Amino acid sequence: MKGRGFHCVISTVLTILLLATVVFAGTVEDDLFRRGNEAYSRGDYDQAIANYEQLTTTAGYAPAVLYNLANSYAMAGKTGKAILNYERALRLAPADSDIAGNLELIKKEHGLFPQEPSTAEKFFQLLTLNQWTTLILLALLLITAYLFASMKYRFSRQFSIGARACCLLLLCLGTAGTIFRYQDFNPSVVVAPDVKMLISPFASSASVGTLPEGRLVYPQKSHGSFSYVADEMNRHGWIDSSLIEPICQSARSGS
Amino acid sequence: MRQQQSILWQSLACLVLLGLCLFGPGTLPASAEVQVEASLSSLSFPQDRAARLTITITGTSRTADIALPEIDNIQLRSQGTSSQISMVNGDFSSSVMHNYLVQADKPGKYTIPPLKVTAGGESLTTQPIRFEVTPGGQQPGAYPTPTRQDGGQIAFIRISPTGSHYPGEIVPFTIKAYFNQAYRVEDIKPPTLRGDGVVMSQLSDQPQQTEESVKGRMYHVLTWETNLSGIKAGEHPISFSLDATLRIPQKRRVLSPFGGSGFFDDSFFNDPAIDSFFGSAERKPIVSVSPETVFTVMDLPTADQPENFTGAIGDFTLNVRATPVEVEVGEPITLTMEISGTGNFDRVEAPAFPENPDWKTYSPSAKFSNQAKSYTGTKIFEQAIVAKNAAATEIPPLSFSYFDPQQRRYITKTSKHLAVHIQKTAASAIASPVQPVPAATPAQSRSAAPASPAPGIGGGLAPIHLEAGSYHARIVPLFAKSWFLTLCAVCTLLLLTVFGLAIRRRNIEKNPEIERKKHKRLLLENDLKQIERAQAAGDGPSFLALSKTAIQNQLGWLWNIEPAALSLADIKSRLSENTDLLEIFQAADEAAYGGASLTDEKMQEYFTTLKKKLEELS
Repeated sequence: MKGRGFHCVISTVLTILLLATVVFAGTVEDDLFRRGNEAYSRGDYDQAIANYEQLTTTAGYAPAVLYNLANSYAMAGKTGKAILNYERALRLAPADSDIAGNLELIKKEHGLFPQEPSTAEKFFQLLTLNQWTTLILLALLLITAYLFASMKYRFSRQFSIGARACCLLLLCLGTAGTIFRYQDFNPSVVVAPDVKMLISPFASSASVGTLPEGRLVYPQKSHGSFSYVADEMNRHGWIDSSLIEPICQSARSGS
Repeated sequence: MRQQQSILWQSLACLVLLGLCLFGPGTLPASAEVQVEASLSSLSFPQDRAARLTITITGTSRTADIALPEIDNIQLRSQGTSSQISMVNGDFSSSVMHNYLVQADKPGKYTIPPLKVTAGGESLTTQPIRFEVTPGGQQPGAYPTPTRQDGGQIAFIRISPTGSHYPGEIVPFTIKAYFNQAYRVEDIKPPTLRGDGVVMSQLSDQPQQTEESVKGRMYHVLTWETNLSGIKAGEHPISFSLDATLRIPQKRRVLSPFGGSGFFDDSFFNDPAIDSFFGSAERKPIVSVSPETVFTVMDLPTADQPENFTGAIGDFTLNVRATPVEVEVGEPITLTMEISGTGNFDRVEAPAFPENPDWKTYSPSAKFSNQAKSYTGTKIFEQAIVAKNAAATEIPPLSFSYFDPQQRRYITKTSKHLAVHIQKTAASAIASPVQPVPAATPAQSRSAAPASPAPGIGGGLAPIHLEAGSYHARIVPLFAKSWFLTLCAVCTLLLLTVFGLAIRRRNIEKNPEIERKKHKRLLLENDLKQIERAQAAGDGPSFLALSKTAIQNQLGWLWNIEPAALSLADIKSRLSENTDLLEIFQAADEAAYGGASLTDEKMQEYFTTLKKKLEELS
């Protein structure tokens, strides 16, 4: 009887502690976010950046935090970091028109015009990566449902063929779209102004061109502190790895 | 008989004489005086030739130790030994000659010091030999190995004439290297420029190869087409040098031990092909230098020099186009500027877009596509321009200036006005600054605008968000999320299950006998279990009734008849041979009507029989 009471006390204390931690954590995050917003509103962009960055480091990525952080960087004139965080926010909230609009605006304002997409690119850009992936799941569910239904009900041959073809097409499209869109899911962003692309992975080697701040590049391999990248114009060269940041850090390190 | 003895003695004498001839030198008395003498075939010889050093040891056996000295820039190579036997007034004497080839790396005066020779147990020294190595036949500047030999010049260079040019001007230039076909020259490097104030573009590793006759001699000719460009005004003496390797057949230097021209000096053995085949060749580096020429570079005239002149010299054309020409305010227009022609394209820069309040411009990109020659082609510049407002109706003319060396004057090419249609849209707010607003609270609005205009972007940004939303530890695509993968796995499993069921169902539909057999087996198992239970309970009437039912079930399934409708008569008529089943069925009927009972032994016997027979039916 004694032991049972002791267990109850311990459980209650732990529960209270847990709830307090959650509530307190929530309060800290909200506080940081609020202070960041206030700093942004009064034009103290450096302070806003510091608050949002701290929030991102401690709590993780939230679309609104990343978006506000990107806005702060944009207002502070740090185009590369702004584009990096807009892209990150867009990965989490692809349907957010504010993020997409601001990203387009800042790119346009800094002359970072994308190349004219090909017909295939235009088609696959109709949906986001996650939407194409959802299509795969939808196709799988539909095929399963159809097979279940076909066990209970008799469908005409034409309907059977049509239903199966549609499901298969959906599955193929989803897979193709996912593969295509994933190729540009995790590029890196140039976060320093006028980064030189070099012929060799050495600081003294000749330059093959300059990358403006905010340009997306696709790292292909690395050597020492240099990365071999291809930019959106399909130019290739080595750049200092510290001058670029991947959009999905953990995914990149894992890949 | 006597005649035979005479022949025998004569033969013996001949054999002794022959033996003396063959073995005499080696068996000469050791008391003979040993003498050593060294001689050089020529005390003065050119560097590209060799002399023969002969050390003659007289009065001893063939074995002798000779200590060869180390002489700077002189190489001594053993050419073997030879021996000689002479008989003067009945006295035999022998001598052994050790031959060495003497070659010099440099012209000059040399001395072969006294050589220490140990022979016949004695140690002797030779006299020192002084000799001179003269330079071989070579043209001026062709050091260290001559490019001229008896058969004419080995190699020489001819260059196209140079004139007066301007700094940065591309001057097409031809370098022709001639190699005498009588010599074998290999490892030919591209010519290098000697001189200051002039640069040459990189030469190809694969020059044009032809043959030419010069003064009656055939030459292999390598031709490089290149460009020269002066980098500073003045008169610059320049020349071109070329490194190669001359393959000298080694055999031509081997002097005949018999002196003078020997059998191997025959013209047939002088064939380079023979030399090449036997591989006895030496490689010596040669350097061929062209005659010096003066490349004059004049200063560009400063009078009338356009402001936008960037150093382009040549003959160019300018073509400008813009796409699209119908855009909204803020949308980019790609301005393509093509500069084609001949000249120093590295100095050709994009025409500067004139300062205009209606237009915002970005840095142009450049791409050069040359034709057959590097100084002829088209340089394409692409520049993004954005109309700031709808007032822009045309793209202003663009100018490109260059200096024409033929006409000796500056020329400016100007493009035409390009009409564009700019539509006004909401996006025209790019340039409009954002007004500061007070800090907003979540209660007031979901979004808040910044307090001051953006320094870089100039405003136009959508306001910040005031609700943080949910946090994510990582940014991962949907397909990498665990819940999505789990859902997909479940779907796939369901899919496979349903697919398996569908296949089974189809198989059953195609072959219903399988299902019937299964049903029959299950029925039998069930009946036997019930019979077993009745047997265990010692319930004879139930045992017999259940046995009858089991027989009816199995036979009814077998004959496709309703089991309950089967009577003893039916079974008798169809199952005449199966007396065991008939007996049990009959006993069951009798028990049903007469109330007979069974012993445990009988029930066991019936059960065993029934089980066996019914299982056999399937």
